[in-house]
Amino acid sequence: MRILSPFPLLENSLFSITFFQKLIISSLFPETETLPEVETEEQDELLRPWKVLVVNDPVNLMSYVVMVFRKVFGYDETQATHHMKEVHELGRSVLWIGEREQAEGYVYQLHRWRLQASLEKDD
Amino acid sequence: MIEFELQVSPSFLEALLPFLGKVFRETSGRFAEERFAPPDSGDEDLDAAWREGLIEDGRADRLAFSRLLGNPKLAQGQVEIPVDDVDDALRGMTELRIHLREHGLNSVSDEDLENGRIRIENLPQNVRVAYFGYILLAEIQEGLIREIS
Repeated sequence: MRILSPFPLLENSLFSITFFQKLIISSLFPETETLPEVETEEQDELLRPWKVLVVNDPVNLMSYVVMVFRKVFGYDETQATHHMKEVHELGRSVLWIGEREQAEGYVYQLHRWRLQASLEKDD
Repeated sequence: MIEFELQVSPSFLEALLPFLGKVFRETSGRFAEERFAPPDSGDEDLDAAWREGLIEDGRADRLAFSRLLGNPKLAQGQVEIPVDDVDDALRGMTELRIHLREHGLNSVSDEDLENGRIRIENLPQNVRVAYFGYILLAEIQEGLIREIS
């Protein structure tokens, strides 16, 4: 945890301030409070873009896959067919990129339609 | 209500529908939950909600499909299904097709199945029945998708 002290001289002095002192300082100066690193990392993870991927399977009909893409993502026939062909010819397609929570919702819906879908970080 | 006629002979249906009913009863009601794991989130609540959701939704899919399969008109080649049941029944059929692919048709390659390059006469009887069931379900799915489009 990094606390921005209002007493930089004290921080830089030979007398290091204790955790207790830091607690007092932070309660006296609420603006100095920061989120624990773990929490901010989690928030970063949630906010960074995630990809919704669908991989090819030998069972589902092309018309079925197009229909599912239209229903789940609201794509028009052309867009949905483009993604279906990508899945069919390249083995996978990125259907959507965005925040993790929404991406999870899409993956759930695709699983509900029994399509092989997963999440991947968008690096 | 959606209604359409299958281009399949009644004798074919007479043989296949009991087979599909039997296979359907053998499949697990937890098919989707067992197969589609939630994304790795480290959130136990999310994982549990995901799995329970798939079980609950899967139940509705199976019910809709069993209503379709149990409709006596189907044996005459007539598909008759309420509009509200279509999505669920489509998913139920997909589940059964995946099951057939992995069990009755596991000796057939993906490529042959996808391209339809299968020499029926060379298939053992049980694989042949599974293949026809697989094709019949696809036929019904195609018809339903065409109707709702």
